[in-house]
Amino acid sequence: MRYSTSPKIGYIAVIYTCMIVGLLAVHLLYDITGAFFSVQTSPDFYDRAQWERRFQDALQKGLIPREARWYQTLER
Amino acid sequence: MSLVQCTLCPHACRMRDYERGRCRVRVNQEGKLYTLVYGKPCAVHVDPIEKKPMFHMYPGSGSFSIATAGCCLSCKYCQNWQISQAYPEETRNVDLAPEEVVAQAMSERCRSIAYTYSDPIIFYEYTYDTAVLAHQKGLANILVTCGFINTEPLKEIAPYIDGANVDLKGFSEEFYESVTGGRLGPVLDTLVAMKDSGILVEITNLIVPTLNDEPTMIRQMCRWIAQHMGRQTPLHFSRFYPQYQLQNLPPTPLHTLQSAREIAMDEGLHYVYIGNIDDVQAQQTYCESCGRVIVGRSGYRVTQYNLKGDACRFCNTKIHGLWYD
Repeated sequence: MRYSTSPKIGYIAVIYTCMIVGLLAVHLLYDITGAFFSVQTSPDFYDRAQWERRFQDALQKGLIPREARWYQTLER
Repeated sequence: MSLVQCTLCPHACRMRDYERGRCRVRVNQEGKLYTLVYGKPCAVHVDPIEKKPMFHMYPGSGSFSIATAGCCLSCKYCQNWQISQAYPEETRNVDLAPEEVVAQAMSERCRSIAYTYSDPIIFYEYTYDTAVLAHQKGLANILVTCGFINTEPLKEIAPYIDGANVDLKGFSEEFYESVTGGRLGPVLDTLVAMKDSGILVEITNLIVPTLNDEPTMIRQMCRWIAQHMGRQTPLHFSRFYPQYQLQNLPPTPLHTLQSAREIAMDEGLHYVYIGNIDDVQAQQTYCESCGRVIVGRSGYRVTQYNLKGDACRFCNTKIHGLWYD
């Protein structure tokens, strides 16, 4: 009995491999960028420009800062 | 460069210029801490009080419910993560000053205002001012909260709070740290402080398969509630549904919830309910003395009310709660 491999199978394998690699890449990219965009309170990640942009965005969206209760100023 | 430390919740976030706390809504602007969500709720609804859930407080009444973006915790199974894990500039907010909240609650014939959905701790100033006005107008105030707040701010707001449903998410520090981003100790302190302040406290425990469904842990929690909060404290076991970052887990099996209820009753708790499921038997309030149904419920509807003042109509036993005169 003679077996033949259709070239289609090869194409399908390549397409699926590309899809899996692509998905992994997207997932990895999401993880990396997620680390940058997550809440950061550690001084190691402090990025004043980013926080200031966020603050300006909040003002533009109509949020009005109001002085909070319950805090202490450690450095001014 | 300024540095500010928030003392509202036990995270005690330290923020540099324009940085925000873990709650996402409190910001250091050049040495002063500001809240960005005062008068800017992103959720406003009239709910049955049973939805909070508060089963021992004015059954069948409407509760004017508000929330802003943000939360002090980051529970992996949060059911309101679209607002609780968002920055306030990312949500659709409305302008609603405390005076307007109270006025709308009254025009909707609500008996109470509930600060809920996300967590009122992070919109503390808004909650405080609204609660003061609400009391002046004869409305009750309800906190639906994770209880992750420092004792001093809690003591300040406590005189204006009538009821609270506190989410006791599990009974181990490990669970709290790995699943919620919080700590158990401060929540237990809050529960005791609320009780000591005269707030009617109901407790909700959402049971997540494989994470906090150990019968031993549930028994320890129930024992702690009986000892420190009293056997009359209402306890709601709530069913987990796959949400947010825990979509890999199945919904809580019904037998797990029923078994938890049996454990709680075995530990001496009188009022134990099961929520997020259609189980009429586990949602009724039974008199702790004669065992008859004193408040019957079907979903969020009240079908029977057998109290006279604050006592069972059948045997005259006083029932823990805030009831109609």
